[in-house]
Parts: sequence; structure tokens; C-alpha cells
Amino acid sequence: MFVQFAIAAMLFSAIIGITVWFFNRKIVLAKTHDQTIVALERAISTATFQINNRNQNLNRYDFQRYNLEEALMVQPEIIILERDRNE
Amino acid sequence: MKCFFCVFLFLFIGLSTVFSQAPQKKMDSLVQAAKTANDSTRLAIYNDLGFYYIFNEPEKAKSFLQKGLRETTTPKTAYSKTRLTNTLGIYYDVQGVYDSAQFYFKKALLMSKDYGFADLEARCTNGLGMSNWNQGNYQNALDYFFEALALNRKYGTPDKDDTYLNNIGLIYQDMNMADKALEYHQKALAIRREYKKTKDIPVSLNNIAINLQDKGDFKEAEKMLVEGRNLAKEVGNQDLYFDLTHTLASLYQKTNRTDLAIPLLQEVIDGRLATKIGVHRVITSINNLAEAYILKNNLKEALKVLKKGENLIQQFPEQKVSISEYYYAVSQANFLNNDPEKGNEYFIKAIALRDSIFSQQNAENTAALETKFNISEKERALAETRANLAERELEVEQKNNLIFGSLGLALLLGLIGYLFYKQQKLKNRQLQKESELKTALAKIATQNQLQEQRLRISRDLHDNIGSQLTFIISSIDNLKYGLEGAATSVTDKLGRISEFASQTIYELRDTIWAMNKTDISVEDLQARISNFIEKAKVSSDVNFQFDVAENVLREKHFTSVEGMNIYRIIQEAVNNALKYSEATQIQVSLSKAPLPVGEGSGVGTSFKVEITDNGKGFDMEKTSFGNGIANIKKRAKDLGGNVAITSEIDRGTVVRLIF
Repeated sequence: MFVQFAIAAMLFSAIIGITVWFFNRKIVLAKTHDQTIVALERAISTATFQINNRNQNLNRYDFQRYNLEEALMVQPEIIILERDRNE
Repeated sequence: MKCFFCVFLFLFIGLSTVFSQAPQKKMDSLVQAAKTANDSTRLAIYNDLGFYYIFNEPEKAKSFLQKGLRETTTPKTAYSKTRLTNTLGIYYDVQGVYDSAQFYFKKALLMSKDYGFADLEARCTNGLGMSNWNQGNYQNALDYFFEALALNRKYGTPDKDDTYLNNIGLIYQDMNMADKALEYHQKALAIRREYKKTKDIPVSLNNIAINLQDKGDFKEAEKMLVEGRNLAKEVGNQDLYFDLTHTLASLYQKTNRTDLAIPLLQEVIDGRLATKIGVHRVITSINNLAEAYILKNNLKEALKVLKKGENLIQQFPEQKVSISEYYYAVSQANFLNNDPEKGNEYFIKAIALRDSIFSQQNAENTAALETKFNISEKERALAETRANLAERELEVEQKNNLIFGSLGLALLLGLIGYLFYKQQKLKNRQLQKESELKTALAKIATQNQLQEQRLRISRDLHDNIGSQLTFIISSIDNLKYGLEGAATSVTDKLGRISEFASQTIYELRDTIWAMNKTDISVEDLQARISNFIEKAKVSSDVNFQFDVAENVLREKHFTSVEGMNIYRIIQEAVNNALKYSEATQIQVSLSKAPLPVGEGSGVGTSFKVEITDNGKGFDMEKTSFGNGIANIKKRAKDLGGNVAITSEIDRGTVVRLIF
């Protein structure tokens, strides 16, 4: 009886412990995932904004005034990755 | 009813106390009292008298008991009837008529259970135990005594436990289980001391001393015997006093203190003979005293003592063991007294008697051994059964534990598996979502970077080439300025070069813009054309009209090059109309055009741009077209279409572009 009680107690503790561990892990994973998603969405949003900004500037080109300097606005915050010279 | 029983109990306890020391006179007075007492009291007296006489005048005992039973005719006398029946059982037990004893004990037990006389139930059970004991059924006796003890503990009072504990101890004593015997005698003694049962304390002390002697603890045994002897004397129990004195003397003899033993044995012999209490036991005391004197080499006294036994052996022939020891002692004394003849005579008698005892004893011992063996066999079997049961229980418990543990482990593993699976699933979903976003980000980031890089290159290109072309233009202008007096053809040429360079810059800018701007919507194009026409309207008196057919979808997108070409064609045609046609109305329209027959049969989209003016027109065959028209045609070709210019004198001009 005592042995059975001990087994039951250990089992119960193990179940609780494992459940709590998995629950905590789930929270950690969700947190990490949310952070990743937020970063990715932010990056996509930034790129979209930059593309829209570029298009808006290009739309300012007047066919009669030929104001190319106003249409071609460089966005210096965009980092252009250089290709590996050894490729 | 309860009061009635209380009276009975009181009387019983009282009478029991009286009886422990009641001489014959007291018995006689009780007989007299019974004559005038009421029914219940009289029956109680009959019972107690019956009990008293069992041990010395059995016939009187039976008479009193039967007399009492005859008078228990009403339900009111049920208690007395039960008691008398039980006491009758005792009578038969002491007489050795065990069948009858069992019968009356069981009858009394049944009555006590039926009527609910719990105190009597215990006593009847005890009686059954005594009967079984006397028949050598030790295990049954033990069971009954334990049952009686349990009954008394349940229904009786703690002060009565000592009787049953004492009996249990005696059984164990008979079974040579000294430790067990001591345990129970000690318990009985403790109760007797607690409740100051002075008449019974010596009994316990004596029993304990006997067992201690068996264990070899003579010192402690001596203490018990001395105390018991003093108490027995105090309470006036002479028989017990003589027993204890004899046992103490035996102890002294065993521990080689013969000098101490001799006076004690003498006291016992003289005392029993004088009081006629337990006279049959004097023979044993005589034997011991003779042995003591022989040890002290006092043959005279030994023989003197042995002389006293001659009458006694005649009086108590059933005391065979004591008599044979007596013969032996006489034989030894005579041998030592140089009377071999007499010594031999008695020696032969001793041997003969011993042989007869031996064979009888052998039979008794065998029976006892057999009983003990059966008991021990039963106990062994019981123990074995218990062990088997315990083993099986342990096995079952172990199996249960194993099953329980396995189920638990399976449950745990199942839970871990399930949680792990859920976690993996979640991770996969998350990874998939992250992957999709990363893919989208890579795509858009690449697109963004490509567009940005193209724009920067375009800008650099424009800055470099544009500035160079501007330099050329300004150089030519400077040259022209410097060649003011030069031939007109030269200045014209320089002018055309300058204009060409300017046109090149415009073309370059359009191209660069188109390279970066991927497409242009119909709506955007329409807005630009409208803007151009508004400006043209402002700078002239011409009435303009610009229509976009409804079947042209505003969401439709042209490529930037197409849009640019469409715009330039319209621009060129309108500028030409403004410059040359002297029109008052210029109409620009954009619409969808059906595909020519044979070309795709309606598949694809075709657009039509028409610039119509109501100007003076021109002769198509005589007029040569300049660079502007050449540009229009080139742009139309770039659009994948064709342009047709039709004009009539004073009827205006139509420039129709279909692509």
C-alpha cells in the first residue's frame, strides 16, 4: 500500500512537473516566435514603405519638365549587399 | 433487573472473598442462612456451597448444585440457573467425567449468550478451557482461555482478567513454553497487585517462580517465593503457604543450600500433618527432607523422617511417583546405613514401581507428546498457510505494484509523447509562418534592393552623361556665341547639334525614368495627358477635347515605355497641330480598337489613339515630314503598332495610332 502510494505520488509529481515544463517551453517558444514575427513584419513593412516611397518619387516625374532629379531620390538607409567577389 | 444483578454480583464477590478463608463453620452458617433467604440469595448460596465442596466433599457439592437447579423454574432465576449449570460443569470436570463437564459447560455458555449474561459467558468459556486442559487438549484449552479473556475485556471488568491470564500461563507452562508462561503469569500478577487481590498474588508468585527455576533464574525465583510465602501466611492460605515453602526448599536444595531447606521442609511436613491440608503432598516433602539429611550425612534423621512416610504411602497409594521416590530414598538410606538387605528390598520396590509408572508415564508422555506434536504440526501448518498466504499476498502486491507502475509509466510516456507531438506541431506551424515571412521578406527586400540599386545607377548615369551632354550644349552655345559673324550654315548646324544634344538629354531622362518606373496606369497616363492639354489650352486659344472611352479600363497598366511613347506621340501630334494647322479645335481620344481581321480574331487588346484637328490640313503627297513625324512613327513601331496620318486641305488632320 505504501509502495503504491509512493508510486502514485511520484507519478503525480512527474505528470505535474512535465506538464509545467512543457507549458513553460510553449510560452518561451511563443515569445521567441512572436519576436521573430514582429521583426520580420517590421522588415517587410520597411521594405514596402521604401518601395512605395520610391514609386511616389518616380510618379513626380513630369513629362514636360523632365525633372528627373526630383524623381530619382536615393534612400541611403537601404543597404545594398555587395556580391562576393569570389563567387 | 440491573439492580437485581448487581446484588447478585455483590453477593458473589462477597461470598467468594469469604470462601477463600471459609472454614467448615462458615459453610455451616451459610447452609443455615439459605433456609431463610429469598430465592435469589438461596440459589447463590447453593452455588457457592457447591463450588466449595467440589474439592473435598464432591457428593455434597453435587447435592447442593442439583438442589439449586431444581428450584430454577422461573425466568427470574435464569442467572442463577446459568451459574449453577456452569458450576456443575466444574464438578464433573474435577471428577474427571469430561463428557458431562463439556455438556454442562456448553449448556451454561448457550444460556449466558441467550440471556446476555456477559460475565457468565466468560466464565463458562473458561470452564470449557479447564475441561479441555484436563483432557490434555492444550490448543483447545488455550483457545477457550483466550476467548474468555477477550469476553471479559469486552463485557467484564479489568480486575477479572487475572484468572484467564493465569490459566493461559499455566497452559504454556504445561507445554514447556517457559517464556510465554512467564509473560502471562506476569500480566496476571500485575493485575492482582493493582487490584490488591492478596489471596491470588501468592499463586502468581508461585507460578512465576516455577518458570524462573526452569529457566535457571534461581535468584529471582527465590525472591518471588519468599514474597509469596509471606503473603500466603498473611492471608491465611495455609495450603498455598505450604506449597510455596516446599518450592522454596526445593530451590535451596537445587542451589546447594541444604541447611536452609531442612527447616522449611520440616515446617511443611509438620504443618500439613497437623492441619490435614494436602496431606498427600507430605510424601514429596519427606522425600526431599530425607535427601537433604542424606546429603548432610545425617542418616539417623533421614531414617526418622522416612518412618513418617510409611503410613502415608498406605494412605495415598495413587501417589505413585512420590512413593517410588520414597522407596528409593529409603533404599539409599539403608544402603548408607549398612543395611544392604533392606536397601535392596526397597530398591527393587522402587524399580518395580518406577517401571509401572514409566510405562504408564510413557503412554501418558506419548499421548502428551502426540498432542503437543499435533498442536505443533497444526501450528506449523497454520504458520505455513499464513506464510503461503503472505507470500501470495506479497506476490499479488508486487504484481499490482508492477502493473500500477507500468500503467503509470505508460501514462507518463504517453503524456510526454503527446505533449512533445503538440509542441513539435506548434513549432512546425511557427517555423512555417516564419519561413513564409522570411520568403516574403527576402523577395521584397531583394526587389527593394534591386530597385534601389537601379535607381542609384540611373542617377549616377544621368549625373554623368547628363552633365556631359549639358556641357556639350553649353560649349556649342558658347561656340555659337563666339562665331557670331560666321556663316549661317555653321550656326544653323551648331544650333541643330545643340538641339540634338538637348533632345538627347530629354530622351535620356525619359529612358532613365522608364527604366525605373515599371508601369503606368491608364489613369495616371490620362492625368498626365490632361495636364499637358490644360497647359496647352492656357498657352493658346485652341479648344481642346480629351476623351477616354469607357471601355478602356482605368486599372489597365501600360509599361512605362509604352506610356511614355503614347504620351510623346500625343504631345508631338498636338504640338504639330498647334504649330502648323491653325486649328481652332483639337480633339484627343483614347479607346479600345477591334483587332484587324486575320490578326488573332479578337484575342488580345488593341488601343486606338486619335488626334484630330480642324485646321487647314496639308497635301500628304507634297509635304515632307520632319523629325517629329519620324519620331511618332518610331514610337508607334516601338509600341508594336502603326500610326496613320491623314489630312485634307481645309478639312483638318487626323493622326491615328493603333497598337
